[in-house]
Amino acid sequence: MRALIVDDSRFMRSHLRQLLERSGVECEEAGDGHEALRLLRVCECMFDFMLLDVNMPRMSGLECVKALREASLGPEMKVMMVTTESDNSFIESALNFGADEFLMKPFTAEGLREKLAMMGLAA
Amino acid sequence: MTRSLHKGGPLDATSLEERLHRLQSDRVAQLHRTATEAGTLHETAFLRDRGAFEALRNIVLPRLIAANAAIRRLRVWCAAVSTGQEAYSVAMLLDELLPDLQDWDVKIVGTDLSTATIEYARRGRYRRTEVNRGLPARLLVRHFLREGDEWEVKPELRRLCEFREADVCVPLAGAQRFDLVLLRNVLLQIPQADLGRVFANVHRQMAGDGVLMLGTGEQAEDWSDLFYAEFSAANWYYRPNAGE
Repeated sequence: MRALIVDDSRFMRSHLRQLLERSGVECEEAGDGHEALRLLRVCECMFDFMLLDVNMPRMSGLECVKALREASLGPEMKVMMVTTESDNSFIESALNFGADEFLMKPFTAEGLREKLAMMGLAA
Repeated sequence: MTRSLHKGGPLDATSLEERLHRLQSDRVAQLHRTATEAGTLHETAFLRDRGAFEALRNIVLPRLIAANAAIRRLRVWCAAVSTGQEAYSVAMLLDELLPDLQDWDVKIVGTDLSTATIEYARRGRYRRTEVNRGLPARLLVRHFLREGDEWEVKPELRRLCEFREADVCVPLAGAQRFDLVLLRNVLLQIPQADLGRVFANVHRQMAGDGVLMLGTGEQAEDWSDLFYAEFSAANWYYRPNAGE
């Protein structure tokens, strides 16, 4: 299983990578939405899921999920927003733009695992 | 101390022996309760055990809904409900499965031995770590209101649920027969000597065509012959034997 971790915090990317790699998930990283889209366009490898932060420079997670769904980049790829944003209206917008799930920071390893399992991803 | 001065308190007794006896038994009961609560696990989450909730959504609840369609009434008992997530999860499933839910008489009774967890369940407010576990985002926005750092269950779901402090060995006062009983992930915490009584109590309070669901890996056969097992969609269910 392959994951794309998109977050402007190197610490958070590293934390998520460690949690996922423990379960045998191969990870790639991007520092913002723009870089994530570039990776998805040029990279021939397919990702099973993307963990996407929201507040990032250049391109936010919300803009990113909207753009990648409109362009059908990785149409089978599940997208989970991983963010401190937690207003109902925000969550609804993200889901309407094409996100599949939402995990609020801070989260536990178990919380992450449960959310992935919920999306049919047994990490 | 104030309590003992009230009529009916431990000191409202005629003889010194009786007063002492009441004081001791009151204290022992309190200690027993405190020890039991301290030894009880309160591990829970929304939609805990996806397989079981898929079975509820796809098999158990649709069958119960069909069986009760004429009277439009459903009674669910979540025994050992802890902080309430299981009861609210069942309520969310019923909201999904019953488009005309407002025309049904639905009551989900959650019970637990612990006063603190029952108060928590009644409050219906959950922290970030709790809504982050097991609860799909779509259900979070549909059924919860954000209140500062907490998420509160919306009134339309709360009105379906009732929480009571109760021992699973003791009959629930005034309860109607339950169509569905969830007694999940709790058997290990009950002394083996009491399990027969627990199943007898559950059996007494179930509708004749009701369903009992235990936790994954839990079974009733070793402790009671009041139920028979059915297997469907990778889950075991128990039906009450008739005429007991």
